[in-house]
Amino acid sequence: MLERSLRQQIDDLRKGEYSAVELTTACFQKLHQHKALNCFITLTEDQAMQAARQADVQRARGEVKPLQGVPIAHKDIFCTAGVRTTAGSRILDNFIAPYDATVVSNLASAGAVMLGKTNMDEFAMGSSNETSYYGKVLNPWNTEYVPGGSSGGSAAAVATGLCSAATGTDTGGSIRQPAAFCGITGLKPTYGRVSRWGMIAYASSLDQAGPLARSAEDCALLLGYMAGPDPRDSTSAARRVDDYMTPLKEPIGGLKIGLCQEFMASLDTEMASILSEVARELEQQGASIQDLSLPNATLAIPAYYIIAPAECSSNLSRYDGVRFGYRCPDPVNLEDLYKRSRSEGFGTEVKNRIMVGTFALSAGYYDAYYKKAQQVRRLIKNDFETAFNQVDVLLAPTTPGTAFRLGEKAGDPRAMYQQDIFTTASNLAGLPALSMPAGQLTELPIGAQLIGNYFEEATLLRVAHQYQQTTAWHQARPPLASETP
Amino acid sequence: MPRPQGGKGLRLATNLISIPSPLLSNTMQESSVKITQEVVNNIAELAQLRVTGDDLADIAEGMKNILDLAEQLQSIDTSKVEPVSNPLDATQRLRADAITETDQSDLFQALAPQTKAGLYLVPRVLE
Repeated sequence: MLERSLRQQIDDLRKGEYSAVELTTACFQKLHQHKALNCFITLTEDQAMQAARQADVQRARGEVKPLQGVPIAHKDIFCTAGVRTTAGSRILDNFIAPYDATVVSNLASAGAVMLGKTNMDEFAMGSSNETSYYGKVLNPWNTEYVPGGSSGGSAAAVATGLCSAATGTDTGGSIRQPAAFCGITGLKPTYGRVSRWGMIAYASSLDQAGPLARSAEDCALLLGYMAGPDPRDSTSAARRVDDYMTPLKEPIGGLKIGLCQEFMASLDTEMASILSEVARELEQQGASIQDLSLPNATLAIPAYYIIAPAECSSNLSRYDGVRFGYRCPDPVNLEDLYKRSRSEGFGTEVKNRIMVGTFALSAGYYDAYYKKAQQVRRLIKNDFETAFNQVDVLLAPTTPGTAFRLGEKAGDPRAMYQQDIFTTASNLAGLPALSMPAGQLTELPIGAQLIGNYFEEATLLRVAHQYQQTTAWHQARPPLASETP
Repeated sequence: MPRPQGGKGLRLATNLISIPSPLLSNTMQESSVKITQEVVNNIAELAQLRVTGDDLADIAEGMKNILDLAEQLQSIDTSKVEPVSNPLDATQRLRADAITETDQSDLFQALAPQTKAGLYLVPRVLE
């Protein structure tokens, strides 16, 4: 049952091939078997089994919701009522949210069963999942390698087959990069397509939640229930959610796909050849491929690494040891309480970003850094607008290469930041972008990225789905996934 | 090159906390801001983080890693470019001035490290 896709599991449950209790039990068996991957921070086994039993009872009564009884995992950045939400940080080690994030309640209303909360880089700041207070996640393809980050727990869990789909968030590539490293499909929707309410904030003008699954079709299915306007998030888009499933079947003949020359120029031969292969495949399906330029794309990393820390320094000022979260022992005065709670509660990377963000927002530097970065962001956004006057979709790499070894870049933050070179631009512009498996190098998966115009998630999912009809990269599973206990 | 503008203290633009800074008298040269011990201490104060002797060099290095990256931005002409504040250029949506939430203060205070009679407790501020 665990090798079945999300859509197949829904069908199987409907046909009575197995029950939600059987499926959920199988998930937990496999989950315990692969505990060493460290995909989860918190397991909610009792609640999940209860929800599965209830799903089966409701089904027997004829009450069937669209995701009835399907087990999924949530990144531990989404607040879950009564279940600990840590964001991978010591400062939230004891935090039990009093409410569900909108994403969580939307998926629960659709009938999904939550298995638990997946591991992540602390406050989603990282590209390797090594900054989590709860330890690193291992890549199921090779456990000496990182799974990518920050949604590494979700990506590794889906790739291993612990569940068919999971939620993630993406501020600068945190869904797409781990999806690429783990050989699965992941989508960052348009800014505002999915509510951020109850999603612990990192950089509010960039953060967006999205699905991770083993196919574009499953991402489409999950997104349909995650997305939507939310009166509790004033930045959520007040527009109807598109039908993502029906258009998947439409051929892509006539679609115009652009290849960004600035991105292609920075690829090594092997990566460039994988991307060209994807382009050829899409061309064979009737799409036309054209080269185009995003002249300011190379500025995305520097702009991102000012804007994201600036917003993080503001957002993370709420962790003060007073109202919730970690409080240092025996504070001598209020200032000591603030400073020690924050310094003991946050990890090194988080503190670095808070410091840079505070610096970039400080008077005397605000114009030179923060405002400058937001102006460059406009140039990047304009480039995309020009591009989408010429093409329907952009094809790009997701990452510069395969997953890297655990610890390889942990001591070299500059190299780590460069991991986001192809992903941050779409966050800055607010555009939807998807990563899909497109090849392998040294037995590790490689992802190709599709970037679309605003609210064109359906087009991205369709291109990826059509690509997945004639290629098999998305069906490749890590050898460890088929091991039986 | 970014040149500090105005004022005699390094302060958070948003809330105007002023603290003295030797930085502003410096003229910045080369490709990046010099992250001195004073800069780290001043920023740590604004960020309410404690930076002890051992961490200082690491934090300075961590800041420098990011700020060096940002130097690429300085050569770009943005004189007539409107900054982005919302990626969709959306403006703040207003909602009806109506009560939508119920009083859940007990629930929220249950999360706090220390409360008493509906108040959050912190160490004594006034002696």
